[in-house]
Amino acid sequence: MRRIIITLLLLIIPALSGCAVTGEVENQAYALVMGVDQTSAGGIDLTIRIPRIGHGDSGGEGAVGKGEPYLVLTASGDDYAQAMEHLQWAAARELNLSHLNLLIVSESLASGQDFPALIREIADTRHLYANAGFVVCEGRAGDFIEGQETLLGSHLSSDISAMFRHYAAHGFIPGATFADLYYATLSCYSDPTGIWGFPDSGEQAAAAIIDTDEAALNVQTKTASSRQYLGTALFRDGVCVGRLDGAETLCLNLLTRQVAAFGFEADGRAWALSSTLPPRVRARRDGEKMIIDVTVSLTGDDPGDPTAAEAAVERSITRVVERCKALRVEPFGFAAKAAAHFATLDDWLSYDWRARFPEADVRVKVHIAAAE
Amino acid sequence: MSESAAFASLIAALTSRLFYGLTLEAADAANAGWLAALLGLALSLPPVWLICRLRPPVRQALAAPLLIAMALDAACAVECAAYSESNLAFNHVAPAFLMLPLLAAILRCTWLGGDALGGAARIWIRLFAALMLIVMLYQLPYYNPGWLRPWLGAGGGGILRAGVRAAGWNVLLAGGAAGICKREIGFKRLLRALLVSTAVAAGLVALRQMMAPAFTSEPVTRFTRIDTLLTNGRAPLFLQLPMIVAWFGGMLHLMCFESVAACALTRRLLPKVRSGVCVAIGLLAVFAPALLNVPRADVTQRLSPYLYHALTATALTLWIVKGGGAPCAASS
Repeated sequence: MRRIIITLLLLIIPALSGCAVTGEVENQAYALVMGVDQTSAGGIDLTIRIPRIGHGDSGGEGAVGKGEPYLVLTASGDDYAQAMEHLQWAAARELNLSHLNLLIVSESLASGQDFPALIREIADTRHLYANAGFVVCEGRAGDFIEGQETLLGSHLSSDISAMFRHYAAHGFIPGATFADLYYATLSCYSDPTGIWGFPDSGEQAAAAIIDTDEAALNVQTKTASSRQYLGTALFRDGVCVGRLDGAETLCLNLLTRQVAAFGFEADGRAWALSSTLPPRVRARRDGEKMIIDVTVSLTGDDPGDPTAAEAAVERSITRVVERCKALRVEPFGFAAKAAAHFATLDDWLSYDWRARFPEADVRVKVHIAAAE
Repeated sequence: MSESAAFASLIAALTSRLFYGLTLEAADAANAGWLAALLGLALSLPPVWLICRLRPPVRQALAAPLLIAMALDAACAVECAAYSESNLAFNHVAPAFLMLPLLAAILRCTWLGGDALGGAARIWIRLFAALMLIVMLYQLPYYNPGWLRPWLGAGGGGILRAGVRAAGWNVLLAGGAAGICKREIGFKRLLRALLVSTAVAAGLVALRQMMAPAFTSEPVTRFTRIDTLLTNGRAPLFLQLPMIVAWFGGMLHLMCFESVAACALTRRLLPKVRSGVCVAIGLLAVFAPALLNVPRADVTQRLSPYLYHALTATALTLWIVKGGGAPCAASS
């Protein structure tokens, strides 16, 4: 009798928890990429790419045959919530954002004063995967998504992950996710960043890379994809206020984390460098002024004297810091170090780091050691 | 329930209570939640010592307030677990239906008895450690220790408020463990359980705060808190599985421990009533408020600061009025 009751209880549990047909994969519309635009009337356009179920080689039940493996759906609304409602209708199945890989926002929308409120609304979307890459794109996000192709027949989700891992490791883009943007916008530490995306127009990628004299990344590229990711969108108080090009993004990445490998030209010599350790950042308080000492340790392939290269990298990094100071943006992660000099969050907020960062003295030191 | 089973169950349940409380209910300390856990330990030691030193007949008088608080706290845990289920996957299901499987699990656990719960807790502690090891190893590159600064977070007032709540949960669960055991449970044993639970919970709270910074620009909703806790925005998608298993496993132990304790306390309170009836009353005390949505988040947030004061005042009053002094079995 006891066993029967226990078995019955166990059988009832799945039914009670609401597992039903609506939870089946076939009933879900898994959005892999979502784009957000502002309409001319001030409303919101949402565009998503979802995989077509049954597409591909199996040809089994539910297959839709050859053709585009992904559907692009767009919906508009007076605001984000209404656009999402309309998108639910357009998807014709349960819209599922838990596998989102990329969130793309148009530059014009990200630069608007309403964007911080939109960040919160997006973050409150049920089951949205917040660790998705965050891209600010030139032009409309919807057009950007429609032009995105996969390479070599790979899945869009793995394609995006592989591409961003590669770009981030080489310092071409910041490691920006929507979660980082959301957390940084609502907290009191450093400012968030976004990945800068643009449609391939042939010359633009190269122009972005060779923006500075020292950069040796002046490669002329012809890529398989018509959508490019290079550079950084800078945010202040949740609003996009500027961007860094490829070379500047490399300097930003050198201050925030490790960069696997990059090329640098100094004094007529090309250096192949890599950062083996994260940069060492120390913050000191001198009265009301904060002094930030940054030491970047790099490894170079050239056994020669690295003094000129060290000075060139230092100059490049300092220039990026000054540029950010001019924009009153601090995306380097210095805030978390500086906050250690304050007892409480209230004290730290009263100090107003974002306003005081332009007065901070940032001293950059670069060491290049020859590889063994 | 044997002393060792109560010890293991207390560690599993209290760790969950402190973690869930300090991250979701009592976020007053902001990024200094781990300090609040340590303060909670310090504040809870005198009342727990006092409860241990009360003579058993005198301690009987503590059973009623402990039962009420325990049943309500168990109902809170059920509500929170159901809310997290809703947040994760079942937002289209009515909360009462989400509670039913949890209540069925509690029923089953109470049926099997306290020793079974203790055995499960021993296994769970090992499994939990393994799960957290996996999560921590994969999250290592994502931890940002800078988000623990400024070290005092919301300041002395915030830490004290959160610490008092943590101390209330410590006293409640330690008092419940003392009431659950067939034999006297010693202060030293309770102290060990409190130390282990607080250390683990403080560590987990600190790790969580290194994954998501304190929000300062606007009040944080419960949805945001639970969303950032369970989906943990900055972690890879595959880590959600071990994290969710750890979360629900811990919550299940908390609910079961508090429900078994509520039944045991009912039995102490009504020694002449048949044990089956006592169990039914104890479970009803947990199920009724849970299903009637009594422990709504706003209500529990308002009441939980007084838990520590109420239990400490009761223990102190009993000590003064009826006298204590009987040494605990294990500590003598």
